[in-house]
Amino acid sequence: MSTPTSMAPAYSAAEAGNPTEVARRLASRGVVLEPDEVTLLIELLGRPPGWAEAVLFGILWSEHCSYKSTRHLLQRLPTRAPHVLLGPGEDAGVVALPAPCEDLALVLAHESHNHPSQLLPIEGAATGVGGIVRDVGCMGAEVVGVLDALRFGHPVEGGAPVRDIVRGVVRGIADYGNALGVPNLGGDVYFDRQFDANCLVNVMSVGLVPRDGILRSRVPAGDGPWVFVLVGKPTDESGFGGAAFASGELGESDRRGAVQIPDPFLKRVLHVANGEMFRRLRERGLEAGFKDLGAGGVACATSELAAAGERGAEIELDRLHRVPKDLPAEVLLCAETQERYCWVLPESFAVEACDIYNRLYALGDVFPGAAARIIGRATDERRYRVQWQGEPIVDCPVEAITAGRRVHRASRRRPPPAPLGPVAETPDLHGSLLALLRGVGSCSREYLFRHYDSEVQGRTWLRPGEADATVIRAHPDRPLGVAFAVGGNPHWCGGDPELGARHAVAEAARNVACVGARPWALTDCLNFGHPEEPTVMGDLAATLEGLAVAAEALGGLASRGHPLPFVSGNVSLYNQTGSRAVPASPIVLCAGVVADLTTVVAQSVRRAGDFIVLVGEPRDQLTGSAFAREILRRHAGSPPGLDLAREAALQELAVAAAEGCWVVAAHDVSDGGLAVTLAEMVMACPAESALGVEVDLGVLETESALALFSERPAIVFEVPPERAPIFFQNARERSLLAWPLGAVTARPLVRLMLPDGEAVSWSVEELRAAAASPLKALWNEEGA
Amino acid sequence: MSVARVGVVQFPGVNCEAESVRALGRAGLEAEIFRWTRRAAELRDFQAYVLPGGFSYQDRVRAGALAAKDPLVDVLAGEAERGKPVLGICNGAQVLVEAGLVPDSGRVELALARNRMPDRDGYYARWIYVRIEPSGSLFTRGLTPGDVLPLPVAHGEGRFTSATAGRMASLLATGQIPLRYCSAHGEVESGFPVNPNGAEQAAAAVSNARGNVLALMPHPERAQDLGALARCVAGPWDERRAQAIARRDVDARGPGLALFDALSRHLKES
Repeated sequence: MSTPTSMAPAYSAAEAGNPTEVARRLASRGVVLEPDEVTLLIELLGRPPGWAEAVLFGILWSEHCSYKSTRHLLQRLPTRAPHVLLGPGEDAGVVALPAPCEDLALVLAHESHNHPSQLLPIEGAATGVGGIVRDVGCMGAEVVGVLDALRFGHPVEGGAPVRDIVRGVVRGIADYGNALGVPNLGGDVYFDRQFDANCLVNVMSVGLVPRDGILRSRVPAGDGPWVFVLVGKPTDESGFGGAAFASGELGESDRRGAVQIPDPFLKRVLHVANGEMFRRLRERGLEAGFKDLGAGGVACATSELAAAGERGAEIELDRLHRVPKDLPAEVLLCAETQERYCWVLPESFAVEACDIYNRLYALGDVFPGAAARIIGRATDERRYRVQWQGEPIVDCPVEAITAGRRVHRASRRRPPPAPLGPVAETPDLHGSLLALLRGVGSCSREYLFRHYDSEVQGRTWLRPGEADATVIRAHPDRPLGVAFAVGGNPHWCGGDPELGARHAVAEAARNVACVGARPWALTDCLNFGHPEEPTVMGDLAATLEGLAVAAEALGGLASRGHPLPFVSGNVSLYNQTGSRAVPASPIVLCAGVVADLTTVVAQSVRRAGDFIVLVGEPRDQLTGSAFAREILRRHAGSPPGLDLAREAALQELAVAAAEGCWVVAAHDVSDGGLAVTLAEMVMACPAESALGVEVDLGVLETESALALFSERPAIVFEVPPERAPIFFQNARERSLLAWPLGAVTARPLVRLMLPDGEAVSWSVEELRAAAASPLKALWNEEGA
Repeated sequence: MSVARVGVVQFPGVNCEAESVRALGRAGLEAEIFRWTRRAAELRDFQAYVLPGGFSYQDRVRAGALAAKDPLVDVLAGEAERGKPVLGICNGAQVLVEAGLVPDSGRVELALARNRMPDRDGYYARWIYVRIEPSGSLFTRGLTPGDVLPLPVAHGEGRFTSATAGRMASLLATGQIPLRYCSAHGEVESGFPVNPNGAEQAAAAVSNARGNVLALMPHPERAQDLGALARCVAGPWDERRAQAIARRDVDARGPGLALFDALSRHLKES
C-alpha cells in the first residue's frame, strides 16, 4: 500500500475475498471499515474504492456519523408537535416561538465531546463548544447561548488525573465561549468514580433566527447554478480521523492528533461575517444552503449538502485554501480542521460572498490563510465527484452516501435494582446536611461557573446559580423569555435506565417550569459504552423507552395533547475503558418559553413572613438518594418512583403560580433532598438580606431523615400569605399534595422543628462555608 | 439639532458591539459599528466613541496591546484631543491604557494587570457595585457622588496599577477615578470580593484629566434591563427591581444606562 494520491484502489477485489484482513490493514492506516463494509463498498461503487473513497466511507459509516447501531431505537422518541419547524436530521432542531416573537424561531443543538476531553481536556472541551455553536450557526441563527453537562470522575478518590481533567475542561469551555462572545447558560455537573477513565462533556448551543431566515443544509431546489463556497480556516491535517476516534475505545494508541485545534478568535470574526451574509441573503430574497464542517471535513459537508438536495456535486480539491504543506488528498478531503463552514450559493452571488469574508472582514489578516473560496459546483447528475491534480479521487452515486448502515446488535435488558429497604440508623441530621454540602455531589457550583461569562450579549435575565433554569430575553423590545435546564442523574440512569431516563426528562422540564417557563422542546445526548455489549444495547433501548414515555406525558404546557418534542440529539458510544463502561447517561436539555419576563421566579427566598410550601410526592423513601450513597454509605437502590401524571400537574401548577404571581421563589427537590433544597434557597440570597427559613417537619408525618433527604420529585415554593388561598386551591384542583412547612424568617438560619419537639438549626454562614469548600479545594491543590 | 452619532469601534475579536449599540440607542443616541477594515479617517465623522469589550486581536502580547497600535487608535487619539468623548469598556479600557490615552500623559503609565484574587486565578465573572466619586468625568456627570451602581465584571486582567508608586493615589486626588468598587451600601473596600481584581484604590475606572476619556472595567451595557439585575444584588437597586416587576415593567431602565445617559446629556449640551 503506497502513499496514494489517485484512484489507485485501497484494496483489490481479490483482496476483498478476505475482508477481515483488509479491514485490519486499513485500520492500521487509520481507515475504519468493518469487514462487511469492505465488501459492501465494492458493491456500491461497482469497483474497489480508491483511498479517498475508503477514508470517506469509513467516516460516513462510523458510529459517530451513521448511528448504525442506534438509528432504529431513536425512532422511538417523539419528535412532532405543532410548533416544531425542523426536527432531528440536520445539525440542529428548530421550534417556533409564540407571540410576540412569532417571527422568530429557536434553534437547539446538543453533542458530546467526551473522548477528546478525556485526552486533551482544554482543547477537547473547547472544540466541543466550537463545534456545537457551528451547528446552530449553520441554520442561519445568531448563537445566543451554550450550556454544558459534565460528568467527571471523583476528584479525591480518582486522584490527580481527574482533577486535571476537571480544571482543563472548565478552562476549555471558558476560553472558547468567553472569547467567542456567547453567554454560558449553565448546565450541570456530577462527579463519580465510574467516570474516572471516561469523562463526559456534553455541550449544547441555542440560537435565534428570523422565521424567514432559516437556512437548510442542502443544495436549494432552484435552478442555480449553485456553487460550493468553503469559508474559514485553511485546511490542515488537524483532527484527521476524529470521527473514527469517537467511534472506538480510548486507550491503545496515542490519538491526541485526532483532537482538533480551537480558535474562538477567528470564529468570532467568522460569525460576524456570517451575520452579514444572512442579512444580504434575506434582503435579496436569495436561497442558499449552509453547513458546518465537522466530522469528515470537506467530504462529508459537501457530499451531504448535495445528497440532501438530491443533486450531485463536483469538488475541485486543488481550489481548497490550505496550509502551505504537502498533505495527501484524503487528508485535505477529510481533516476536521476547525472554524470552517460551507455555503451553497447561486453562482451570481458567490463572488460578492467571498468578498464579504476576504475583504470586508479580512479573514486572512485574522488568521494566516483563512479565506472564502469557491471549491466546486452542484450538478444535476446524481454523482459525487472529487478531482485532485486532474484525476478523480472520489466518484460515486449520491445514493451510496445517503445509503446509511444498520448494524444489528444483540440487546439484553437487565432487571432494575430493588429499592433501598428501611433504614434502621438514626443519623445526625445536623452533621448529615453539612456532610452532603461538603461533598462534590451537592456542593455549591459557584466556584466553577464564575469562570464563565454568562452576561455577554446583554440578554441574560436569570443566571447559573440564581434559579432552577437560566433565562434570556428573546428580543430587546419584547417581554418574551426563553429558559434552559438540563437533567440526567447518572446514579439513577445507571441503576434503572428506563426510570432514570424518565426522571431526566421530568427533571429538565420541572426546572424550566420552576422559573415559570412552559417546557417547549427537548434535545438529548445518549452517552453509553460499547454497542457490542448486549447490556449496553439493552440499557439504550430502556433509556429511549423512558425518554419517550416521559416526553409524551409532559408536552401539555406547550401544546395540549402533544408530546414535548425531541428536536435534536446525538449518540456517543464507546465511552468505555476495558470492561468498565460509563453508566447509562442520557443527558436531556429542556428549553422553555415564558411569555412575560417579569413573572420569572428565582430560587432565593425573598421576604420574611412568606410561607414555605412543599408540593409533590410523599416523603416515604430514601431509595436512590445522595443521603443513602454518601452518608449511609449504602448501595442506594433504585431511583425513586415517578408518577408522570402527577409530574405534569406539578409542572402545570409551577407555571400557573409564576404567571399568576402567587409565588416569589421556587426550587425543585433533587440531589440531597429537601434539606439541600432549603439550604440552597437561603444561600442564594444576597448576604446582606440575612434571611432564613423555619420549617416544621412534623407536617410531613414521616421520619425526619425521610422528610429531609428523600429525593422523590417535589418543588418548594415561597408563597406570600395573601396568595396562599389561591395557591392551595390550585394545588387541590390538580390533586397535588401541598404541605405548608413553615415560613421565611428574618434570621440567617435554617431551622427545623422535629416531630419529637426538638429543633436543629444551621447558620447560613456555616452552610455557605461547607458548600463552598469542595470546588475551592479542587482548584487550589499544591502544584496545580 | 440632529442626534449625535457614536462610533462603536470593532477590532477583530471584540464581542460586545451589539449590546453597546443597543445601550447607546436607549440613551437616545445613534450608534454604528465601525469595522476595523474601514478607512480610519472616516472615524472623524462621529461625535463620540465606544471601544467595546471582547478579546481584540486575541489578547495577543497583552490584552489591548495590539489594538492600541491600530491606525484607528491614532485617529481616536486625535479626536479625544479635540475633546470628543471616548469610552473604553473592559477590553476597550485595556486598549485605552495600552495606548496611553488614560490617564493622558501621552505615555503608558498604568497597566490593567492580572486579577489578584485569593483562592483563584484568571478570568472571573460576577456582579459587583461601584460608587460614583467626585470627578471631572463626563460619563458620570449628573450622577451624585456616593451613588451606587451594580454592574457585572468579566475579565482576567482588570487590576488598575502603576509602576510609579503613589500614581493611583494621585489620580484619586485629582478626580480621575470616577468609579470605585464598593459594598451594596457604598463603602469602598479594597479586599476581595468587593474589589474583584485587587485594583489599587479599588479603581473600577480611570479618566483622563480633561474628563472626556474613560477606561472602565465593568460592563454597563450588560445592565440595561432593571428586571434582569443579578439576584445577588441587595439594597436599593433590588427594591427598585422589585417595584418594576410589581408594575410588570419589563423595559424598566437598568443601572448601566446611567453612564450612557450622561454621555447623551453631554452631547446634547455641547
